[in-house]
Amino acid sequence: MIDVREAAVSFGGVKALDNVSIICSLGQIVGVVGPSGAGKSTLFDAISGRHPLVSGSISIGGATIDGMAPQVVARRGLARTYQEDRLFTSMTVLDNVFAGAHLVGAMHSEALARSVLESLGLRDRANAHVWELAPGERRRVALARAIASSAKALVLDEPLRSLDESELEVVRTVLRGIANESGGRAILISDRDVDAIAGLCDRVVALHAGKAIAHGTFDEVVRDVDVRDAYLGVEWRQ
Amino acid sequence: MTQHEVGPFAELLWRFGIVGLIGLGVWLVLRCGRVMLGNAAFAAIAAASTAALIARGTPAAVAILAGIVAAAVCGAIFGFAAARTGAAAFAIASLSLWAIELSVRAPTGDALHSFGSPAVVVAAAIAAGIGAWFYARSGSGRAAAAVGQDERAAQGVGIDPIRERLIAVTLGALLAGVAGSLSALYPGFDITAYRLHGDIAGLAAVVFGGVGSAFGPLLGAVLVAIAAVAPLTKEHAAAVNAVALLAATIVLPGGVLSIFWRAARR
Repeated sequence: MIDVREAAVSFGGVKALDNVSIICSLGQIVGVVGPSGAGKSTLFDAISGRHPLVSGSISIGGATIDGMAPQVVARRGLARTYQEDRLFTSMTVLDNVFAGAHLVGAMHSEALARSVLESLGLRDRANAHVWELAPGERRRVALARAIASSAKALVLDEPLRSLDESELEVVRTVLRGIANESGGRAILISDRDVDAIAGLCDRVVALHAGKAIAHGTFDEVVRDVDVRDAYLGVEWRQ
Repeated sequence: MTQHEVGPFAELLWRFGIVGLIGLGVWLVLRCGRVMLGNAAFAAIAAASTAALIARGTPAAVAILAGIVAAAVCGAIFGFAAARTGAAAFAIASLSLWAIELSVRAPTGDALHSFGSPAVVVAAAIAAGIGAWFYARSGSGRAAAAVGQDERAAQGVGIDPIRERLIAVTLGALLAGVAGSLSALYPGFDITAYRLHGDIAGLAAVVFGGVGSAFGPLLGAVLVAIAAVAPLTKEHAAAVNAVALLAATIVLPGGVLSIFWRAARR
């Protein structure tokens, strides 16, 4: 479970995140939406140990991770993707995913990496180099690397960007599958485009200027007056 | 400096082995995203330790081992201090190792040279190349490469960049230590050769050969060794090295090995 309580992050005098609280239980997919600069990536960076909190707390699986280095947070069971692909560019697709699986142990990591690649429709690209991939393929490799870690908590920063319709369907199916697999996983997923996560998330949190301005089901959030004023526009799907 | 006669082929082998080992050490650190400009200092430490111990009657094998251990320990100390620094700071910190290269002294003499064999140093370099190739394919080796390519992403999958850099620097120093200890037995041994020249030669081997594989530095070492035994003055040889380094960086950034990769892919 990912438990963010009244988390605040500041850069100098600028409050990038202001008392944001989110709970994502095992088996749940929680969407984080908002325009550019809303604080989505700052929130994900804070959860993964990249930014220290000014106040509040974050725990993964019941254990607080405040002040821990990103690699320690990862070992505590959190995997993430980034707005940029951040792939290991001189490695093959398989080696990238293999790197994500290295905490699982050498005995099982290659089989795991191959099975994740297959589920994301990348089996035939396993031996391709990253520079040979199309943008949508790169996005899926980044996601495969996070999934292959077997972490119980996934923080996915715009994983649906650059995907075409068929890729979107594959990724949505995989995400629903891993959220509900044995024991379940807690998945936080962000996107600037609310349409992209429609039907995928159990709950949605809308951020604006570092604050959580609405939370609830997808329909509740997109109908929220503050969300329409700050982000979607009053004429969005009237 | 001793003036024992060494045939050109034997000298070529000696230089290949020594430069190859130092270059492999540089390569290991480079894979972690850091440029090591003072790896020859660890070779100098090992050479001085081995030479001093043999001159005092210590069995050669023990003296060689002690020299290698001394280099690896010094590498670990340097790595512990420098592994957490950024890329530029690490390179600058590695320049401080030149102080060792400038100050270290070593005895020479026939007692040392009777143990020297170019075949041993060549075998050591090739064995180290094979070992480095296997290391690069291991979990730890992949983790080190991940750190070098995207430190933030590597941390995101649980890899500790400081640990990986510390391992790489220590292993690099150990390989330089092997080069240094064995070089103390070289009939043309001159510890002042490690002053800057050893670092440039190691770096040149990596640049010429290519960073894509552990065999790149060894291939580069062949080229550096050939240039070193060419009938040039020290100054001319340094100028040739500098121009070749610049040319290789611009024209062949993947090193000579990349030519073979491209041909194989076709």
